[in-house]
Amino acid sequence: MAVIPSDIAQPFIRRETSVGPVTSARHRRNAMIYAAMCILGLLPTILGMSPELAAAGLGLWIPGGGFLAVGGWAILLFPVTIALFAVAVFAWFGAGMVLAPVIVWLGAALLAGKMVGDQTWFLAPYLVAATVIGIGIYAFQRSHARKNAELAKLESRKRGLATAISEAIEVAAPVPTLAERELTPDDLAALRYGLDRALQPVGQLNGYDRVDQFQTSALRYQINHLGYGLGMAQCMYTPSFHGYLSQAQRNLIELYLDKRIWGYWLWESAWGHLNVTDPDPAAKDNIMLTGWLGIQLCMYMSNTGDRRYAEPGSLPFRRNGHRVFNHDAHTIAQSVMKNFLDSEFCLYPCEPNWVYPICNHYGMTSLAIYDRVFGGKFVPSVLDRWLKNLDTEFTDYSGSIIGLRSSITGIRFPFPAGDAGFAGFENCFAPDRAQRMWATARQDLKFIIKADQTGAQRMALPGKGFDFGNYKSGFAGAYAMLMDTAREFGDYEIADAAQRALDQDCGRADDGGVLRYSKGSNLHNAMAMRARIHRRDDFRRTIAEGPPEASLRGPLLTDAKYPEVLVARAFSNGDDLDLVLYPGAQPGPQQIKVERLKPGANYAMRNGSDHAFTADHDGAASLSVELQGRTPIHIVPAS
Amino acid sequence: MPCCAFAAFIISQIVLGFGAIKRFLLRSDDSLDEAPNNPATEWRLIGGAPALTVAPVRRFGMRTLALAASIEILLAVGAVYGYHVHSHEHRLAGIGNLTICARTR
Repeated sequence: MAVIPSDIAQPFIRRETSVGPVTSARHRRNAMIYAAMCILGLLPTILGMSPELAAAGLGLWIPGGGFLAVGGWAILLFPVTIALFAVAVFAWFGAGMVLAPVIVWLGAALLAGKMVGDQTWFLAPYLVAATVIGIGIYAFQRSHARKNAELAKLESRKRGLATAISEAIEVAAPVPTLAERELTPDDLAALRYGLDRALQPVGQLNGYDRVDQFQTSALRYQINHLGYGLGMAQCMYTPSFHGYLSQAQRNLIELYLDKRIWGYWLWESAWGHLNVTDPDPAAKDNIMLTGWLGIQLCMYMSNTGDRRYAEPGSLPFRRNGHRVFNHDAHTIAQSVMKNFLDSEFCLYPCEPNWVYPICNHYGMTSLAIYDRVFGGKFVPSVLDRWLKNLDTEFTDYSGSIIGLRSSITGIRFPFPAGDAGFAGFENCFAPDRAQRMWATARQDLKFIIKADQTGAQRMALPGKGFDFGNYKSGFAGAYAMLMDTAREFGDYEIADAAQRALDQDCGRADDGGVLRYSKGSNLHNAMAMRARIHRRDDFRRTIAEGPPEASLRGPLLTDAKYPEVLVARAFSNGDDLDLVLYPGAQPGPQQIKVERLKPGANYAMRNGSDHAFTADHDGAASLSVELQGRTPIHIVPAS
Repeated sequence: MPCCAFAAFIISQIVLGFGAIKRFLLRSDDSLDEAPNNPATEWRLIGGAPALTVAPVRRFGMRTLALAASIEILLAVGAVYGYHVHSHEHRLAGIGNLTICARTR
C-alpha cells in the first residue's frame, strides 16, 4: 500500500470542531425544550397559582425538584429521584428504554404536585434554581476542561503525526506470501477453541458466557467474533478446505437465528421505538445486529462460494408460531444502507437512539464485503457522507472518534473507545485514514510496553481492567484487541508485546489441545483466537479481496473428522490441492474426502511417496492419509 | 415516625434495586476482585467436563430468595402501616382545624 505520510496527516490537522451541524441542532433543541420547561415550571410560583401546580412546576426544572416544594420528609425523595433518574438513564443507555428517564422526570413532578399540602416550602424555588445552576456550572467546567485536554492532545499529535505515520509504515512487516500461509500448532490449538463451540449441535450454548442479551456480553457478539475468526482462518489459510470449517460457520449463523440471541430486539423495539406490532430486527436501527451479522454472512459466502444466505427467506427470525421476519444477506445489507441514508447523522443507532461509531464501522465493513461479493455499489455511494459525519459529529477535539452519542439529544456519553479499535475496520474501506489512526494509536501504546522479568517486551496496562464479555475484571479484551489490530497493520513488535501480556496475565491454558485464556470471557477468547492467526492486512483482505480465485474453482478438501484431522493449510492453484494436516488426537491413519476433482481423472497424492488414485464420476475421492505430526500432502493431476 | 418509615421503605427499595442490578446485570460482586477463572472457557467439545457445560445463569439459592422475600414483606407491611397512621394523623389534623375555626368565629 503506497502511503504518503503528509497526505494522511493533512485532513487530521485541518479538523477544527467536534460538534457538527446535526449535533449542534440537537443541542439547540435540547436548550429550547429545557428553557420552555423552566419557564413553564416557574410560572405557577411567580403567578401565585395553586401549590400543586407550583410543586409540579419546580419538578420540571430538575428530576425530583418538586419534592423540595412539598417539604418535610418528602425532601428525601429528591435525592431518591435523582438516583432513580440515573438508573433510568442507565436503562436507556443499556437497553434503549427511551421512556424511562421521561417517566421518572415527569412522573416525579406529577407525584410532587399530588403530595404537596396547603403551601409549598418557601425555600424550594431557590434551592431548585441553585441546584440547577450548580449542575450547569459543573457540567460546563468539566466540558471545558475536557475540551482543553483534548485540544492539548491534538497539538501534541499534530507535532508528531508525520513522524508517527512514517514510523508505523517503516516497522510494518510485509504481507505474507501464499507460500508462507500455514497455521502453526499453537494457531490450530487456538482455532480449536472456536471450532469446539461452533461444532456443537445448533441451539446448544456450551462454552458461552450468558450474562445479559442487551449489552456487550450478549451472545450475539460472541457468535459474531467466533464467526469472524473462523472465516478469516478459512480465507487466509485454508480456502480449499470446507468440511467442518464451513459447517462451523453455518452453525454459528443458524444459531444466530435462535430467538434467545436476537429476541432482545423485541424488547428494545417496544420500549425504544414504541413498536410492539412489527419489531423486525433488520428494519429500523439495530446496526449491532445487521452490521455485525452482515460481515459474518458475506465472509462465509465469499470464502466458500456458497450463496445459500442470499436466497430469499434464508434467514428466518422466528418470533413465534405466527410471525417470522424473513431476511437474507441482501435485506440485511439493504437495512444498513437504508438506515445510513435515512439518518441525519448518517451513522445510526444500535439501541434506539444510541449511535455507537464502532458498530457503524462494522456496518460499513459489512457493506464493503457485500459490495465485493454481490457487485454492489453501496460503499461508494455513501462513504463520503459517512466519513464527513464521522469527522464532524463523532470525533473529539483531539482527533479521536468518540464512543457514543445520543441521536435524540446529541449528548456525548462516556463510553470506552480507542483509535486502535476503529483502525482495523477502516483498513477495509478507507486504508489511508486507517493508517493515520493506527499511527496515532501506536504512539500511545508505546507508553504501556515494558520489559518483563526475562527482558522481553510486554504490555502492562494499569489497574484491574474490565472484561466487556462478562463484566468482570481482566485485560483479555484489551490485549486481544490491540494484538489483533497491531497484526492487521503488520506491527508485530506491538502485537507480540500484547500476546505476551495475554499469555502471562490472562490464564493461558493449553490442555486438551485447545488454547484458551481461562481468565477471559468467551467474547475475548474469540478475539484472541483471531488475533493469534492474524497477519498483515488479513482482515482487510478477507473483506476486500476474499480467497484466491483458484481456490474457488479448484479441488477441495470437503471431509475430515474433527478434531482428529486438523488442517493447517489448504490451497489450490485450480488443478492441485496443497494441504498441511496435523493429527488432532493420536497419530495414525485418517480418512479424508476430496471433491471438485476432474471426474474420472487420475491423480497422485504426494506425501513422502506418490499414491495414485482416480476421481469418481462426481469428481470426488476418499483417501486414507497417515498423519504423523506436520503432514504435507500434495494432490496433483497425474501426468 | 411513620413518614420516616415510609422514606426508609422508598430508600430501601432503591438500595435493593441497585443491589439487584449489580448482581443480576453487572455481576459486580466480582467486578473489582481478582479475575477468577471463567468456567465457560473450560468447556470442550470432546473430553470436556460435563459439569461445566451448563453456564450458570443465577447464583442465588432458595435461602437467599426466602430472606429477600421476608425483608420485602416486612418493608411492605411497615409501609402500609406507616401510610395508615400518616393518613389517620391528617384526618385528625383536619378535624382540629375545623374546631379551631369554629371557635374563632
